Amino acid sequence: MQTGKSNTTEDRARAALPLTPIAMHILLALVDRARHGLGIAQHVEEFTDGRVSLGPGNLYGTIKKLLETGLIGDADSSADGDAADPRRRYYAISPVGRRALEIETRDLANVLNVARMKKVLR
Amino acid sequence: MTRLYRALLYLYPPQFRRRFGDEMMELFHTRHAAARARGSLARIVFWIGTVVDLLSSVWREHGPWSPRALFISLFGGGGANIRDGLRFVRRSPGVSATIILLMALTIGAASSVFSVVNAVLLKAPPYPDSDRLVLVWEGRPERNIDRNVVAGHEFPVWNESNRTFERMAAIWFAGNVTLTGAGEPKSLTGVRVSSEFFNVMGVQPILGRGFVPREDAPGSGQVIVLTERLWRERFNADPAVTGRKAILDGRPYEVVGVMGEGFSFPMTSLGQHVDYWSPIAEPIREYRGRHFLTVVGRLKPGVSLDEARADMTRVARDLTTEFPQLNRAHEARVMPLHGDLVRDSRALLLLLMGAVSCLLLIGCSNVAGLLLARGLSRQREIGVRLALGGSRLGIARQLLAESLLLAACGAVLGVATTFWIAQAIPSLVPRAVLAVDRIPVDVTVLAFAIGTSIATGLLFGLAPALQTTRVSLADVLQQAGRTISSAGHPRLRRLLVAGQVALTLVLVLGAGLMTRGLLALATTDPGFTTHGLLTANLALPGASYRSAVKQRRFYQDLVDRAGALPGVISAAAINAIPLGGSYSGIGVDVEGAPPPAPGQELSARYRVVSSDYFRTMEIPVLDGRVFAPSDARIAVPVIRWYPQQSVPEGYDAPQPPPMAVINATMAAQFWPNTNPIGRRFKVIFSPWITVIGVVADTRNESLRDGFRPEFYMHDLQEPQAAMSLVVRTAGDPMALSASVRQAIWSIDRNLAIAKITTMDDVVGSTFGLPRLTSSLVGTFALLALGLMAAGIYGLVAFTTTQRLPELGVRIALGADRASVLRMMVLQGLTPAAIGIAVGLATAFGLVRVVEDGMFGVPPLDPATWVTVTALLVLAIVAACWWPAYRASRVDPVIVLRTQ
Repeated sequence: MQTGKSNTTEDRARAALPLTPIAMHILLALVDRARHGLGIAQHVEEFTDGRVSLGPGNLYGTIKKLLETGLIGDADSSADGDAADPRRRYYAISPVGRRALEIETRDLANVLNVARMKKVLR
Repeated sequence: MTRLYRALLYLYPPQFRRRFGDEMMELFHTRHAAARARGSLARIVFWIGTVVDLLSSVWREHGPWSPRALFISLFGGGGANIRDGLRFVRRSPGVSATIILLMALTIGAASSVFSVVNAVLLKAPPYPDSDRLVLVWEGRPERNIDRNVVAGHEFPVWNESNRTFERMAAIWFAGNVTLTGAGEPKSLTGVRVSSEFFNVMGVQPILGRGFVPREDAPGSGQVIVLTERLWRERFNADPAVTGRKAILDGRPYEVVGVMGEGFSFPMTSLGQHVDYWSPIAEPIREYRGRHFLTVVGRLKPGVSLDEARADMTRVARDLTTEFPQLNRAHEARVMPLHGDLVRDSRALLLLLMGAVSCLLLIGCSNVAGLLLARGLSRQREIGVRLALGGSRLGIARQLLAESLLLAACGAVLGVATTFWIAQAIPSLVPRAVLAVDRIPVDVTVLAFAIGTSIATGLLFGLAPALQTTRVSLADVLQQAGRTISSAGHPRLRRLLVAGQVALTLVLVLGAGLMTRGLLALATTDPGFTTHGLLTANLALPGASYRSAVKQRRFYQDLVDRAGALPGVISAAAINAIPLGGSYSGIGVDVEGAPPPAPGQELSARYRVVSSDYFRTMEIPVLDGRVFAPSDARIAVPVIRWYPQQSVPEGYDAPQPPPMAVINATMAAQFWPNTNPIGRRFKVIFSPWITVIGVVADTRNESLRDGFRPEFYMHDLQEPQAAMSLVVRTAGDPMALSASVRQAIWSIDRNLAIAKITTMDDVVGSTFGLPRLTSSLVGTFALLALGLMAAGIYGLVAFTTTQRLPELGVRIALGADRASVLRMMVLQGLTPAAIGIAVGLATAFGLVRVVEDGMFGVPPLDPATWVTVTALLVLAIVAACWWPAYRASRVDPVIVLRTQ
């Protein structure tokens, strides 16, 4: 395909797939606004009715990975520019992350449709 | 806890920790606070979750060279070290086997006790949302009563006017009934419940249905729900059982449902299984002041215990306003169901857990001592490896891998033992104590066993590993051919020995106090002669013995026939056998006494006995006389339970007055400084009852408690449906059991005899729990004593062997053998003395906590403290003396030649 443009948003998003469940939850939490780690954990717990409770290790392990693959970024780093600041760090979803989430959820939606059709889900 | 987590963060790579450490701490902190607020179960769940999160993410964060890298970072050369470890195990099978056995023993013991703690204290009861289930009791702060059963007029009001409960149900322990028409006559334990009961518990029948409100209306209620067990045993697990009739006490009941396996709530106070449930179906609202109901409730979702308590306090206050006399200072107490069920076993289990933890630590420190000694014998090898450029860390890792390998072997054996013991426990421990039927060895128990093994393996392998590798190269190479005396080892071993002595002292002291308490209990005089007495529990079915007169005739007949049997000295009947676990209390008004101040109302225990009871039990008569057959009344019974109850037939005919025999305590408390004979008192709605005699105090409820005021009524005046026959025999009581059974069946073939046993056994069974606890703690203490002695022996033997060349020189130069002996004995005595001091101080601090487990012996009982300390000193001196003595006998020539 478009081999020359391996750095486009689309390619980077596809390279990050598939998303782990934790990564998906984190990205979903960041869709509407930037949050800090604790905020992400609380939000996820809230919108899953407490069924998903992210432990510190898995939460920040995944955040680290998402930062590395560019799906999220430090929200305040450009504003403050002070990396040594011990205050809470905010994370925001990047265009790549948004695209990856979109592709992944669309795939899931297809699965859901099939499941509905075959009466697995009602 | 926060510090622990911060320390655990060091498991992550430094980069990750620096970038995210603070944020992770914050998240941990928030979660931890939330879990703490939700109670101990939530905390345990939280910690398990945290450990899982930690392990899984640490694994991942160590990047592309994980998981092997992680293993290597902990255990060094991985497979190679394990191979080395196995080689060592093969090379020194004796030491290895000892270590493995020690670990198996201690881990097995600790995990077994933990499996009980897990099953009883940590597991929630098997009902949906069981954290919303509570028991509601009546509390009487003025008389220090916390958990009184609830009165007939109180429950309906509680049920209607509370605002915090989704549902509430009342339970009435109805006693035993006889099932006929389904195989042999069988005595069943039934409970009567209000119609919401199954909905409160949140458990539905597997067959048929629960009760509907209509069936709980007074006069109806001829329906029952079976337990799965009864359904299987007596109804052949018939799937069409609903609609069938069961004959209970001669009356037909329709089976409407069967509960699933495992549902047998509530358990009776004697730990009996429930066999069936039936509706209460009586006008309980009119049974004012009669306390007989246990109340269980389900809180509305989101309602906290405190809110429920506040709500019920309001309800109780309103009741007091409505019934100022009857409900003066009555409160309502809301207790979580689970906590309430396990309240008796909690202290006991924690005590056992403490004792077994002591044993675990002692065993593990012995293992550490053995590892140290073994490390020493390899010091030359290690020195050479260090000299050749081996890394100290690498060698320490190898040693650690070996100790973990041994710990793992021990753990496997220990877990196997746990399975075996956990299976045996329910048959050893009274059900009323444990409140569970099964002790599962589940994931939690396995996690505990494995975690303990790893922790002990690391803890007690790490120190020796580090110590052993701390050798000076110069020393090793200079002293080639000799073992090296490095100051570090004995210091660590002395520390271990001091710790062992301290723990052992605590444990042995605890066992000593318990044993003394048990002895005191066993030698307590119950006030009657237990030896040579046979007892048989009976319950007359209501259908054929409905009237008090019929009941009276049966027991009179029975006592006469039993008394005429050959080998029988005398026979009598009593409604609640002494020390049999049940008793009745009742409010008493003394004639001529000023009305009591609020909260000072008199009450007494009472029992109903036949004429010859006091003679049969050999209870001394102190004053007046006891009952005679001529005291029979026409109008029975005497006591009416509520004002609407009809007056018995023949009430106004001329007949003996109602009378009672009282015990010495009642005489002294209710009629101080006057002769109680001829005085009168009333109970609830009874006529005046005249005191005709005073008998000596007896311990009818517990051997441990003091005497309470108690009176006896005559069964010819207050007939009972359920009584126990007591028979005094000339020879072995059990030899007469067959003829007593015959005597019973000669009157009524259809009677179910619940139990024939000797009075000695009845009394003995009240020691069941104390005996079990003290024998367990005693076993732990004996093991600890042996391990401690072995530890000290090892220390002294080790130092003397090390100093043998030096001792040889001393003796060769003319040192006195006695002074050598003294010197070497002191090697062991010094740390032991420190251990004893620490142990005594610890025990002094602890006895306050475990006071309740001591069965009434003052925890600072000087005799026990002195005996236990002396025993320990004796064991310590013996363990020190033997190796020291051998060292003092060495032949200097031989020693010096081997150098």
